[in-house]
Amino acid sequence: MIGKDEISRAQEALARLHQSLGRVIVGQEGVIEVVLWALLGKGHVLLEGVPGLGKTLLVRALSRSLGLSFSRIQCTPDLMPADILGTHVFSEDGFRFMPGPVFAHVVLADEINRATPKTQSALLEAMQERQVTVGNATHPLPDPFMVLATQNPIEMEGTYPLPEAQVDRFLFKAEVSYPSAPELVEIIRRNTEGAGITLPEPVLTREEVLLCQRVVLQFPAHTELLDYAARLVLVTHPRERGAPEAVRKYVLYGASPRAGLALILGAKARAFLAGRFHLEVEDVQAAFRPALIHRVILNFRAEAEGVSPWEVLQEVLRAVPPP
Amino acid sequence: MVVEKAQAILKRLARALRLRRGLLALSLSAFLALAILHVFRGLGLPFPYPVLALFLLPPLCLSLSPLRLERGLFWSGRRLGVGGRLAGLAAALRQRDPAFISGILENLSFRPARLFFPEALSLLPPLILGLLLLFPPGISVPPSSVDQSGEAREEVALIPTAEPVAQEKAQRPGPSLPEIPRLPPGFAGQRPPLVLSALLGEEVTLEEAVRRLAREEGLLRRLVELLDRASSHGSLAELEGEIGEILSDLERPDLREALAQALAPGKEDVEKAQALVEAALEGVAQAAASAQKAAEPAGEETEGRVSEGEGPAGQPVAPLSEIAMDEAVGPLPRRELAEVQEGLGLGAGWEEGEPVALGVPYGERVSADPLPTAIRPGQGPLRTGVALSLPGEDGGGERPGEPPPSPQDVEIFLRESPLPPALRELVRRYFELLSGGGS
Repeated sequence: MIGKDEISRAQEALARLHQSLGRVIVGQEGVIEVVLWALLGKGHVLLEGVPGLGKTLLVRALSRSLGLSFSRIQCTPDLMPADILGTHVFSEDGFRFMPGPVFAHVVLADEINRATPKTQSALLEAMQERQVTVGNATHPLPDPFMVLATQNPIEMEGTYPLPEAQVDRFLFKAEVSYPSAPELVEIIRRNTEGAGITLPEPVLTREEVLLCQRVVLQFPAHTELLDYAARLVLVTHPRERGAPEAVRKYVLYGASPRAGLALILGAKARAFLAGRFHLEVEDVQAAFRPALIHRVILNFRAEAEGVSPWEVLQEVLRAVPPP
Repeated sequence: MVVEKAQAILKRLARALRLRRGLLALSLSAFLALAILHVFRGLGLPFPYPVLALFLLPPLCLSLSPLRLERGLFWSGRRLGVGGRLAGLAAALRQRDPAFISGILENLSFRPARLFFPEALSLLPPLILGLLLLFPPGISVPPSSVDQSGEAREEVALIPTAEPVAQEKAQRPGPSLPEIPRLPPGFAGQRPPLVLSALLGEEVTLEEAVRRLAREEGLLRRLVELLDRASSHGSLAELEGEIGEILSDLERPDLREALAQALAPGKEDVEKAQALVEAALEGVAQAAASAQKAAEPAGEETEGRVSEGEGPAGQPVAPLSEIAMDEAVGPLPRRELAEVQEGLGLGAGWEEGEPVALGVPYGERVSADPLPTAIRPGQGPLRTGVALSLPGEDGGGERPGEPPPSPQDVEIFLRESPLPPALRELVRRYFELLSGGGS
């Protein structure tokens, strides 16, 4: 059982982390928040955005602030699973396992959609199982373990879009938007003046990160709120009773049960970051977009009519009355 | 410790929610009960009051029966302004996690009374129904701004409203008497001019009302006589025409209708007609008296003085009470006087300011006995009918046993007499001048 002092300590640590990331990343408050939700919920994040928006910088700053090990995988079509997971190499002592870059607390899989499905699959399996099996040996991944994958939504030539089942492994999808004019000015200023961008010093220990994760998992959620989250997920299915017209018309596959977990974990993390000890309905609603946007698969009709997943999800949010 | 405190808070909330549920049920039950009570009262049926106890059962049951608190925690939190804290507290309590419970309790304070607003307003409809039951709208209270003189209060007592009449009727064990037409509703609380207007069914000036009431009174008195005569003869046949004429001249349509029904061929209920006329006469006399009183400026006018009010044509008129039938007429307006003199051939030898002796050329039709010096509506045996008749040259009077001529008599007399139309009109005009503008 976690004591109240521990919770307060964890909240203070998170506030420090938030502050530290804010000092490096200009704007992108929403993205930082979603990344922290994923960290607290022991999940992984898919960052989607055009190049140059600071996705990689964010991940690097996060890993530095957390004081955890960090590795980066630049995904290319010729990247092999062994390049990620590791392999057995022969040495004087015989074959020994050489861990790949996935054996780090924070892993950045840059442009994951450029890797072949085979490689993607190997990475995603590691993300889900938090262990890697090579040959006859299983190697656990470090704890905490978090993958932040990025993908570019516009350059689709020579890419391998992630299959739905694999996208589902990411707890949240954060859409990195283009900075506003003042934010862009600030980005330019920071990168062109003085010593450029300096990564932050660690503000959290590994134990504190684990404590925060434990607190979030123990965060009390009322049954009515769980019902609400479940209903939100269920009505994304076109055959579900009570599904809005937009869902019946444009959705091919609804969100998986993992979406419900993501909703509640995101809500808990949000409440915890806000320094609260209870959940509000707004927490679930705030986690709705990053938790479901990549889990709802639209049909051809939606694509033809230019309907975006978020437009459909907004109908879902309207269709389900909050408790 | 914190767990107990959290439990107490949730218990308090559950109690308040149960009470709120009971309150809503109570307002609904009370509304239904009172509505049914109203229906029973409207139908005149006795209400089984013990049944009211049944209506108390649902609110009692709902107040005492257990409540699924889990369902209303977010709603209650929003209503109490504490957001999801109550739901969070319940969730933390279920997990038995004191760290979260104490964290929530630190920022939790609310007043359960806020749960009852605006639900408390739901008590208003049954309350209004209850008030309507206690104070039915049929009883009209006189407005405080109007003149609540003793006269007005007397009218309230004298002329009861329809409801007490109905009650009285219901309580009366003997054979039912004929229904006497009453003054219109709302009569009692109004000032005399308004009363008269209400009585006559139109907006009239006070003077006009006095004049018409006097005429009505005269007609009614004549009707009484005719009915007496018919009663003594036992037949209405020979008086039917005259009665019909009088009835058509009556101001009040309700009375006219009631009398026409009572005297309809085949029915001929003279006694009922007499009762109706007597009652109406009583009411008209009261109204005329109050109107007369209202017409006189308090303490300024003395008896015998001519009122300076204006008649329908804007001419000065003398009220009926001031017409001295056996005295010389005071100074008349020059034009009217000239008309009179010209028509009756009285101009010769008369000088301005000299009193004029009035008379009629057919003295046989006028009673010889002297008339009272002043005629007031509602006083003495001689009423408007006499006041409006032609004064006699011999000082006025009536022959013993013969009733004074009524306006109708005079009118008939004038029609039958071989007078040229111009002269007949002049006589009528003369008569109108004497009676202050009446017909």
